[in-house]
Amino acid sequence: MGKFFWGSKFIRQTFTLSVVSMILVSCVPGVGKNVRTRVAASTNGSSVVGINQGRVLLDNPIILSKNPNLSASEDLAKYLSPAVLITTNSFLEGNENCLGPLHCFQVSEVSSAPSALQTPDGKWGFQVQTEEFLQVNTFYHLKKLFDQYFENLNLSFNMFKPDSTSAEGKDSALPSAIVVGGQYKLSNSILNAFTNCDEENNAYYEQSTESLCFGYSGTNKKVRWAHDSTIIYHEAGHYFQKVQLNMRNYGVSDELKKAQLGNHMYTEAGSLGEGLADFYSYYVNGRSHWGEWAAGLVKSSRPMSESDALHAPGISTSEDQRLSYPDYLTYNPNAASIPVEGIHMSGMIISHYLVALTQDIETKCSMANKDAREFVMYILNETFAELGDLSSVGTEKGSAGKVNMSSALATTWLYKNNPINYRSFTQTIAKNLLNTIGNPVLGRCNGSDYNQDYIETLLDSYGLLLFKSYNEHRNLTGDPTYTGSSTYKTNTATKAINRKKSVLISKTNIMLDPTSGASSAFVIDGKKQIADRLATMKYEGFPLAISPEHEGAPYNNGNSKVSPGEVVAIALNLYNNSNSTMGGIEVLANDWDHADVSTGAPCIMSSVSNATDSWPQAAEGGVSGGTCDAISETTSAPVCFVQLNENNSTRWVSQREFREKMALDTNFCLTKTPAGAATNNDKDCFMKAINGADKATFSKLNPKSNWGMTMANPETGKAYSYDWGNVVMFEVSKHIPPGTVFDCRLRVRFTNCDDCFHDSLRPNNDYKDKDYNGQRPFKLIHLTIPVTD
Amino acid sequence: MKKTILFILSITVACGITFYIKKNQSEKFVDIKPQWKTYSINKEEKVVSYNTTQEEFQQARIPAPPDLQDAKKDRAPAAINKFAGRLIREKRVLTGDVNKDLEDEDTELQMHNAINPEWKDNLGKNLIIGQDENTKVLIVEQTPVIEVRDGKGRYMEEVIITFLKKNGNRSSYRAMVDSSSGQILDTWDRTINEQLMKKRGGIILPSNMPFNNDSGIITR
Repeated sequence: MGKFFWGSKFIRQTFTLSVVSMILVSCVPGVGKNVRTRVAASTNGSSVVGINQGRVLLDNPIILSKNPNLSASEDLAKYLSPAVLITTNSFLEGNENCLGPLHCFQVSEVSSAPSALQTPDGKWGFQVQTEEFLQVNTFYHLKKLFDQYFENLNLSFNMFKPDSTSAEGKDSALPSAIVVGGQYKLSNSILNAFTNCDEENNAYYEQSTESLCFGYSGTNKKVRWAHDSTIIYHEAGHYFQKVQLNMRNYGVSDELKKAQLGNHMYTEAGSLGEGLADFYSYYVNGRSHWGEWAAGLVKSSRPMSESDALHAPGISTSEDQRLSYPDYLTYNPNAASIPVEGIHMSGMIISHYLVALTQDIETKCSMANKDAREFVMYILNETFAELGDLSSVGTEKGSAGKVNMSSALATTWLYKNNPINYRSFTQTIAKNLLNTIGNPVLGRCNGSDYNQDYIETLLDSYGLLLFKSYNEHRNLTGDPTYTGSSTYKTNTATKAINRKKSVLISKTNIMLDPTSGASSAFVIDGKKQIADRLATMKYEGFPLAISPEHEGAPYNNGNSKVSPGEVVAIALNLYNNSNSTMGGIEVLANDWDHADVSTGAPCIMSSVSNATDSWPQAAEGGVSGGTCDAISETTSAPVCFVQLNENNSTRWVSQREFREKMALDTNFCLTKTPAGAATNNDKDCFMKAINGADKATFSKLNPKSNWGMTMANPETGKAYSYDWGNVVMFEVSKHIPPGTVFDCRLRVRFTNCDDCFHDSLRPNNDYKDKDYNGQRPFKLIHLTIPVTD
Repeated sequence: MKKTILFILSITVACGITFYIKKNQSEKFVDIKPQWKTYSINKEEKVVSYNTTQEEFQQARIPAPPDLQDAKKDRAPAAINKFAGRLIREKRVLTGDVNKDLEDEDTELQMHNAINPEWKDNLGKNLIIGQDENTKVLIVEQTPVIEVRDGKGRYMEEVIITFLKKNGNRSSYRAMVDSSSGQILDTWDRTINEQLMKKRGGIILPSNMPFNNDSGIITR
């Protein structure tokens, strides 16, 4: 018995010792796994890494090899890092700061994979040419970005964010409600990253299913985008932009809808989105160039500093040689002489500005570059959270109606009436700088402040000092004539002396091409062309609403005229009559407040304070007084009126009145009235701007030039053709008699416009959101359209 | 004896509270039955629809729902109650100008529309019409909604829409759809593509700029 007991104890002790030894040995790299050996090895199997470790490409292959001409067929195993910690999880699942999901993101090869990649042996060492390696590499860099971003959020909420209860009482857009037990309520879903996507020259962020997908470069399917860490940061940067932009859209009654920057067409919001995604790469690695490997192989990498060798001569970090707005909106560093209208190119102005801002703070505040990057990211958190607020509150001390008009109209204002552009974005950045690091009371700039002159001088060197006030109070700004109110709020003015390079142009300078013989507009009505476009709009997610009988554009005749039953695109031949470049030109054809509410008759806009359009005269049907004298945010009328010829007069009338005179049943209108509806949907019975195509955008217009001249290739003298973002589209009823004439009152503005944003009745203050439902912030352009058979 | 009665009383009260809470919760769940459905046009040029197949999920890069996954794929993502804290009426999420009173279905709420069981098919047909041959549209329900504005409600459906083209191109977004007509009211969460070397849409004009205007359009 005793012998047996001794034997049992011995066996037990030996077994325990063996197990413990095995565990300990497995945790300690063997002789063959020391750093030197690992670096020298060109393999990355599990035998060369320890538990939870793997080897990755710490940067992209161009940087690691220090060879800008690295061959696409190069063996990337040469550039692998020493073994690094990947994750202690069994699956490639990372970051637990997201409230709701178990983890914030996960990585797998394809969407059909049953789960994130699972380690077979507790290690993450895979040969560089394998699919598993790409997943580990992607995971490593996503984890790095996620960890850094959430660390930043901790700093943002606990250190950078102004204490709204403190004496200086500055406001913040960061909502305390999203912080719960150290986690952040930012998304309901896990972000999935798929590393093996059959996408040529492409990677994408699919917001609807929260996934990233990484393709390959050129036609070489072996050159994978997931090998390039800067690409991973950029794509994840789009995800974080959504997080930032919607920080205030969780826990509100409309939280299902999400704000986003731009759409598939050229817009300045889209440009900002791309430039900021590039900045995410700089945020992580501190290196001011994006995509040297994956994009560089097809000559599409992008710099983020004027000191970059890729830039054309004449561009430098000197104040007068920055990549300034709007001149460089169409600049492509890879082919500098040929203008290009694209959001990836025009976004470079904001990425350059943000890198320069980081470096300026680093210098002036004696701050480490990493700390300056974190601070700038905090400023972006604040800026996005405020601008993307669909509840219209904007900031913690704000109230409904401060930003984006109202919760009911927020998306219309955010995407059409007052969208995010270079001006509004940099104005909000400047305000947030002034509130924090620019506040001398806080002493956050090495005990001092990054003062107003610093803020404005740098912005001006980028041509971006386009605002005369910091607009802290937005729609809640007090009216200077209403000084008796206890809620009177004033905004900080910018210093005119700091505006040396930024040019503000009067809206009177945007017009239709006055050149003798030049066309004012062009009608595109080819059947196949329009039908294809309508199909593409559905594909791209524009909320297209056209009559079923116009699907496929069956009545289009391609005669370049507007005919009954057609769906047409109209391109305006806009012209910049000033001596400075215009940027961010927008043509709006959406409904606005320019008709009498009860009769629908066209308002004579000059009857409204400071408005200028005298059309039509009273004898021609124009009305003034009543609802025409004040702008409402909720009342709007279609852009097009109809000419009604009666026995003794010719009047411009609403489409409703015209229908009634024709005695046409409302069932024949472009928009059908649902059964039992209280009112008829006949306000745009005959001609309707198509939702989703009711706004055209142009990147810029050179001085004394139209768009064709601006975009002309200097070698050929020809510009490429218009894109669909350059036109507005209308649906025309087949019931309209030929010979009928419409007048469509379009609104036009541009970003560096002086009187499109500054309200002369309220000096140095911006227009309020409500005003963007009227005429004053816009130049009106009339299209008189005869309908011909 | 006194202790026993107190004990039984406490247990009864505790059970009662638990039952009440559970009952209250069960009445306020959101009735969501997501079912991916594919719409396409057949050789007879008729719109057809069917439950989305495993192959289509792969093409669309959408993780297939659990019932379509292999038996070994037993590691489903964790369920997330994304409706926690939301106001619910008629098993739908209330949005817009809402207040707690509207959760009580005895509180009158006039509606602009009625729910049409065919709304999804109407949406699918509308989206697929005009598309290239072999294009597929995949639609799945996300959240049933009642949006309240100016005191009146509208039944809506939040959906995800994904297009698959014959050449492998794809696009996806979320939409808010009218529960009666199936018409799209709003869209968001559109896919962001890098697409280097992308060609512009290229509107074909009869002549190069400056244009020759034969449209009859007069501008002032």
